[in-house]
Amino acid sequence: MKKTGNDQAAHFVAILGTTGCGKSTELKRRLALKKRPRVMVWSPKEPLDRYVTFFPGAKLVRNMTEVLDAVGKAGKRGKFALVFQPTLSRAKDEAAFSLFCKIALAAGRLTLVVEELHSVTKPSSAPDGWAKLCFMGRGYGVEVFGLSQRPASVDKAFIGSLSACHCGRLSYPEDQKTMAKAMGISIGDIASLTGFQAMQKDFSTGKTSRLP
Amino acid sequence: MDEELKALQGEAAQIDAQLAPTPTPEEGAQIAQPGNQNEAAELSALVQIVSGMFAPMFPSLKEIYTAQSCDALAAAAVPVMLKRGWSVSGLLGKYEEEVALLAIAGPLAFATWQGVTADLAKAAAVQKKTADDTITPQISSSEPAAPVQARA
Repeated sequence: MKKTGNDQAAHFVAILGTTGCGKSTELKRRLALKKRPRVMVWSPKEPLDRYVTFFPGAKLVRNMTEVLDAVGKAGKRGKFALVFQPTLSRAKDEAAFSLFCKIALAAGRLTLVVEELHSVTKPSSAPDGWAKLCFMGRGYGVEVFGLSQRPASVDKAFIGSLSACHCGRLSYPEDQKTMAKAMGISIGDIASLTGFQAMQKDFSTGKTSRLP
Repeated sequence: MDEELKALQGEAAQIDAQLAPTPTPEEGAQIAQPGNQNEAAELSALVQIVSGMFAPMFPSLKEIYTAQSCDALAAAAVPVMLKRGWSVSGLLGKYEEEVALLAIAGPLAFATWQGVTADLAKAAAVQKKTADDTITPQISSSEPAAPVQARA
């Protein structure tokens, strides 16, 4: 029997690391593990990342009315994939991101990918919709993949909700410190990462591993 | 539409008003059509990809062709394109993969050319220095020359 509500397993995954450390590759590897018929992507670097080509039939949108229309048409069970490209203006994007998350939560049963999470969150605060989604997303069947180059700038609500974490190399000491603390490992474990090496942690089992 | 989603329509309209560039009323009327919004989004994406390709050669392009300036350009261009019957969606749709490949391969090829040119110049400089060192006679010496002794 399919689990519903709070019986569902949490699936909040952080993929973090400096630019060029393999975050997108890791994300796409994880996304390819199973079919994801309902997907929403927050993609600030869409001209480069091109999520719209990764998900067949995905629609690129730049306003919230189109997001609402696409999600509304799909209903609670219909298939859809949409990619939202924000403006990269923090003030505008924070408000849009909050609503984007509220829409995801209202739609339920979907995969939400958030690129460059640090561009819409701060260590001490998060847009309302995002905070709500971090607290309640599991119960609504929303799985989240959050990506960022600057973990020290990502909000604690998300870090505190993680079910799994993939951390590539980080050059800034504050970021190393944040991730060491969040993953329960030493700063040296993070600081010593090079190339495409990464530390991974499954928070449900507590198992930590180093790749490769 | 689901009631929960309907309740978010007002907030969506407010945010869209902030997100949108500020076109003239005529442009606004044309751009408001969903098809035209996609057209503008694709044109803006195309301009950003092309400017990104040339950015390694001309770094100032990064500052000129920002997402905002490309959006503004696309918003202004779409009404003209509609008037002339031109479309970018067909072009980007048909050659999407090729454009994506070019966006990656172009800067890589340029960086390779720069790297190889620099390597060759370095190797030539080392070779020239070695040749000069071999040909140039030793003019000075730290040891004094031995006195010439007259033969008996």
